[in-house]
Amino acid sequence: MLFDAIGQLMQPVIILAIFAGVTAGLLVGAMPGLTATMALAVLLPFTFTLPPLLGLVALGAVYMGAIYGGSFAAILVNTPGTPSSIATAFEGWPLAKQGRALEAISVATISSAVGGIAGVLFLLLLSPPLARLSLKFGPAEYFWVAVLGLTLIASVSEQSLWKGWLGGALGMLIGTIGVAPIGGETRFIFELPVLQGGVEMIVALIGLFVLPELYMMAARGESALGAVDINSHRQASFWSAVKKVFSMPVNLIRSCIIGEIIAIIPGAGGNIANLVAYSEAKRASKTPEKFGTGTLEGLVATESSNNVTVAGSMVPLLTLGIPGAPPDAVILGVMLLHGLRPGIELFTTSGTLTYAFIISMGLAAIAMIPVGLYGGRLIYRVIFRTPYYFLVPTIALATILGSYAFRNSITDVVIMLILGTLGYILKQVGIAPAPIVLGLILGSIAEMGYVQAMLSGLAEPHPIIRLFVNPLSYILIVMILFSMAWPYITSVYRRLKNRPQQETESNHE
Amino acid sequence: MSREYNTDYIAGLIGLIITLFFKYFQEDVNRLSIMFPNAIIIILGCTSVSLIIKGFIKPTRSTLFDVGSNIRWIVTGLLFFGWVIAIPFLGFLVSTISFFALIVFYLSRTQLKVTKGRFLIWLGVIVVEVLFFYLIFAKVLHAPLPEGMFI
Repeated sequence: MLFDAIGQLMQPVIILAIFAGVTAGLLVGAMPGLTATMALAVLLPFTFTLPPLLGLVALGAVYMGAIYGGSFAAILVNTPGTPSSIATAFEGWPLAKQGRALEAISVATISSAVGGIAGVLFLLLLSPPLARLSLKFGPAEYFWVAVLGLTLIASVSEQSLWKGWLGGALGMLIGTIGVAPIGGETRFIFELPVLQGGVEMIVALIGLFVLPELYMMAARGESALGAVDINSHRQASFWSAVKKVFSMPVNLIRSCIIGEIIAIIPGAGGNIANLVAYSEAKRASKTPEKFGTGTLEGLVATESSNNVTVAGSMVPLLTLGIPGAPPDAVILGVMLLHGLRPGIELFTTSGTLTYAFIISMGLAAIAMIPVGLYGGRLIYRVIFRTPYYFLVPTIALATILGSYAFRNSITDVVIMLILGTLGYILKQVGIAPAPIVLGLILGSIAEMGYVQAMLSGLAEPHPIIRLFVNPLSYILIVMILFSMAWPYITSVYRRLKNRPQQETESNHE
Repeated sequence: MSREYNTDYIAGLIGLIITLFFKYFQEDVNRLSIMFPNAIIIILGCTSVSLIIKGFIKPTRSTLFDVGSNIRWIVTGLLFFGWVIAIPFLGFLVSTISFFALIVFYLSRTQLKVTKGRFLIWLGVIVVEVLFFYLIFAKVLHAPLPEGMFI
């Protein structure tokens, strides 16, 4: 069946669809505010008339390209093109400011390709056991996953942990504006009916990450990239990037595994995977203090993990019919349209088609290398050579379109501007945008899990007990405690390690 | 030399103002809808107070708004707001071309003298660029764009 599938993919039209899909996905993903879900939704009608395999292959390639395309904007303009590349901006942008943007793009390309292929391998080999694990996730586990994610604030706080917590809490509070997910009543709309829809994560993401950079560029009177020396093309070559990525195999494997585990949890996709993988890379690094200043370790972690989720999130989709991430819902729609029902039949009766679709995503990951390396250089040249007084309004135009396109609402654009201006002011006093966005993303997951767990425990004398009944919750709680204690453990370890050295030095004196 | 400020104190104060603002506007809704926001308000308030206390005990000091010209980013920000407010009245194309040109004109003066001829060339570039975005979004991607009196 596997060989039949490979045979079906060896048609020129399929190969063309893969390259076209990756290119289209890359272009959409590179635009701030246009997500992989939107790319798939927009291109969906074009696949209606195509044969099932061609349609699925094209959409899989678009998905892969869009997740990877998000890294371009993150590296070149400090704006995550998609939520999956938030952490890419933490390292990619400092690298670009050092004149190493092409190197960052090359490393991101290879890492994304490796992640994409790893995701396909995971999907082929681990679908059944991972699908069973995903079924064990209930409201309490979602709550604990969100809390685990919130412990990442320690990693993404630029100056002080307290300010990071303040930013995280502020993000969670902003996330509660609008209709309550359970209960259905409106909260914090300040007597403005336009706020009933709440603050969209994408809108906040664009405002908080992009506007402060635009204000900074305007204040400085020059582009952040305009004043730097460009590194040599040799540093950014394909082989050099391959060597750099594979020189950190543990980081690469760990990030791929993290990406896969998060991908199989329905609802948690690349937007969480890239942050968790980045945080773990920092925790495990020998030089964690260099994170945030432009380190390739962080870039490899975030870009490999987010592309693992593309195929990884198909595990619950293909086995149980549960979309692992929002873009999967679009792919589910196409499958149902062609009469393909998720479940065991997909791997037996329609096995050739299913395996061909899975393998095509691996081919799309490979296609990202030529498309990304050439496309990346082209986009870089355009951004680098554009004078700052054209760059500022051009990026502003893309952010306005991106914020508007999400819900066709001018209110969203105004919210984006207000949050961005507030973000610039908060950044001045040391509250970075990353914890605010993290709070916004994870707050809603935490609320949903918490309130649902409380509801399910209404019959108990203490409903809160429902948060502690599943063994999976215990594992997550241990991980949270470990994650919170880790900075203190490493600090004590370093102090103990340095003590004999200091004692020897003082004895010598 | 630029003056340094106690950023812990300022950040804590901003946090406290936001906490009080949200607390004041908190609606009377059922327990299920408010239990989580209540907990967050308490966390935000406690964090803000802790930062204020830290500001008194062990303050972090740094300069504020010390990069480049403050007037320039404020004016640019106002132009962004003006642009967005103008869209429902003037339409996407007209407002975007107008405000795009205004921002280019305002920001370019920091680097070079803007002559009439140069500005006319820029205007052509702006029209082509905005039309490109318009066509990609409206005609290729079929994404709805904000509408106004004109296009």
